Amino acid sequence: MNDGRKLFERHAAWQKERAKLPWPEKIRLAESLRETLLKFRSLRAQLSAVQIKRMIR
Amino acid sequence: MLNAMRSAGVILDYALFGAVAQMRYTEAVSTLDADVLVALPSPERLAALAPIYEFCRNLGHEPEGEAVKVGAWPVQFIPVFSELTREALEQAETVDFEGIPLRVIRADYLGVIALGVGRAKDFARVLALLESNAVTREELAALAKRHDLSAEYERFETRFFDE
Repeated sequence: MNDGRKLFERHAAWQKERAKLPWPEKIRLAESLRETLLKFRSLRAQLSAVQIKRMIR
Repeated sequence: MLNAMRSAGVILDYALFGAVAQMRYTEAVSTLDADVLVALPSPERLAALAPIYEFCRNLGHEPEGEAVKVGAWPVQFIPVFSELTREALEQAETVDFEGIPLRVIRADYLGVIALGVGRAKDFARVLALLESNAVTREELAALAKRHDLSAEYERFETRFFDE
């Protein structure tokens, strides 16, 4: 098995492990995700498509 | 707040559903609001949710669009809207949330309600519940059948499991 494959499998296993976190912990994680998403949406509303492409580059 | 609302008779019962309930079984998912299924004492009233909004306002939680802002989360109250959701609420589990008892819709009902809605994100929700072994395909099929959602379940099976 090559290193890339091993890394991919470790990553998948880690993602599955995250499902075993306590429920309140997962809700706190979702709260962080939500805040980030809202910030991104607000930023997107302020910036033009050209500015966003420039940032991504 | 939800338990107090029930004790005050503003609602007959409640249970969390949607993404927040799903996270009991799966990894954390991105969601913008928290959904609460409620049974109301007077569901036929035109402004059936008004007592809920009033109760929340008295506790300092203001309405925000169709939701009520509670801490960081907009909470959306959804009255039971079918026999399936009524049964889901009756069968909800009471779980301990850091010392507070909280009613939550069971995984099988979450899955079948999602099948009934049928958006891409709802199918993703059903797949996540299956992958976490919170529910089996057989359990989903049986519950879907009992609530006349066999066609929706078959479409889901065909789309995601047929070779």
